[in-house]
Amino acid sequence: MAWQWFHRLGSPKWFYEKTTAWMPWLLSISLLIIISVSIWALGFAPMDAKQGNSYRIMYLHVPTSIVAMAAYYVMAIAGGIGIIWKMKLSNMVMKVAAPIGAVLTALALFTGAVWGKPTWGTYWVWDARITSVLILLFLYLGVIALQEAFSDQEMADKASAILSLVGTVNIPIIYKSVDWWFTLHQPASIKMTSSSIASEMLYPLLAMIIGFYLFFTWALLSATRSEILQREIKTKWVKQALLQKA
Amino acid sequence: MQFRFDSFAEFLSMAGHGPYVWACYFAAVLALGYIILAPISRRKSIQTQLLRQEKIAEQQLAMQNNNSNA
Amino acid sequence: MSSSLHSSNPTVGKAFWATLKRDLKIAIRHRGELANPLIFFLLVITMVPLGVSPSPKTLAMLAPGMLWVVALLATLLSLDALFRSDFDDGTLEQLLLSPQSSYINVMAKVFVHWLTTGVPLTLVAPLLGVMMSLPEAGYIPLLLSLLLGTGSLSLIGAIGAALTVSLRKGGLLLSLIVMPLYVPVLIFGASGVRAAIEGFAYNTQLAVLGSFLALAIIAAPLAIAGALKMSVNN
Repeated sequence: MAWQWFHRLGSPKWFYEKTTAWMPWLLSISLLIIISVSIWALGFAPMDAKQGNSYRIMYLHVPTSIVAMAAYYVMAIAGGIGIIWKMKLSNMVMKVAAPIGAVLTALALFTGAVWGKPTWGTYWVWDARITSVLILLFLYLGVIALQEAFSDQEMADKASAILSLVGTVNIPIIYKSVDWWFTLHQPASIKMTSSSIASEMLYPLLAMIIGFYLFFTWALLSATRSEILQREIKTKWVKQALLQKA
Repeated sequence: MQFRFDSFAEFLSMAGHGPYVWACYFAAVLALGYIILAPISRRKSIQTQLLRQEKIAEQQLAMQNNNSNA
Repeated sequence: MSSSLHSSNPTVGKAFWATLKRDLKIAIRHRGELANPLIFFLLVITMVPLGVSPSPKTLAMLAPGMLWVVALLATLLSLDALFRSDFDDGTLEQLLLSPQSSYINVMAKVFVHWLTTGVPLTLVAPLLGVMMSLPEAGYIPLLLSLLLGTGSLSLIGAIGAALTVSLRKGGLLLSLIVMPLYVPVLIFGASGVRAAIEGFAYNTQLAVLGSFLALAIIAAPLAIAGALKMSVNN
């Protein structure tokens, strides 16, 4: 009995039908949070004493970076479950997590670079965090490229699951190495100070992080649902679900 | 809660940081928009693909029926 | 308990040696291919003074990083062939079906890869160091760091080779998926040499490279074996 939910979770049909009701709610709540915090951040947040108005980018940059990183772990865990329990649904989640994660990582890099111009006077600095995020993007691109390279879906799933698991072992090592490398080369002038942040600035940031997590959840579910339709197109229930709406 | 800028023009320029801030928020709109629209458009293409298949299947069935009638 | 240990040990050892000998023999028969990564190494290092500047001062500054980056690229190029011929003629399938654990067989194959690319690259590196005006203090750390580091490069790279062996055009993809994983090895390898040139101790970097190698020896063969099974089964 206790494991019933787990087996059900493996059933694409059950998953698809269960999540249908959640989708509009998740999307509207997450967008509501993201849009209202953005308006607050753009117009109503107090100006930062040191960085001026450019710090308003932080409300985008920090949440995207956090979620981009979390997405990799979601992908790797889904891949691991797919390998161990041979769960179809899990492989689909892994496959669709990669492009979403890659887009978020690219956005984190872009906002970081643009934020760097007014604060450090240059778009690109080989800072530890920026470099790590860049490598994260490469890891995502590798998983996507590998997934695309196989014509057989089962092989593609296994291969990208193995690669993302190897990447997971590597990510902490990469982060630590890059961090260590940066302390050797760090010019004293560009030190990041994020230790003290006023609560008036912090709470909206936390709200934004929650908003991005919710959005990511929606995006993951939504992309998984499309993937289910594609892979199960031969089944009766998918035909019904698709033809009803047409 | 108060609006921090005196005029709309000032809100756009953000004391010189405007282009950077707006570029970032614009990029976010593009990225999130892509993430939202990609699965929806994929679903649409799967739907049309299925409809086409169904149509072909129906036509084949009709042709078979015609043949057997004749 | 002890008897079972005794009876299993020789077979595991034998399996390792059998694969090792076989692969070494094949490698020696294809001597020409063995030289390719080395020639590549030499060529790219020749390009550096031509492209950047022949001044010894500039070259000396670039030397540790350049030598390491090019050694890494040379390893990458050699990886595509690692499992290719065994995959094509079905040997790989036999190897994975054999009663000995695939861990041992995989280890033997990767060990041969290291012996035939990592070690030669390490041995030529000082020669290229001369061409790059590497300061005298850098030679020993260059040798040691490459010797330790290329082991990790072979092991990590073999994962990529195993994942892409069933694909016809796997070469570029292989580099794409493996290179990000090489970052830590490159950082500590190159910085060890640089530290030595600047007169600092470099044992930390060597220790870290050693621990990377230990971790790779434990974990990588599992991923390689899993990837090979995936490639062979379909």
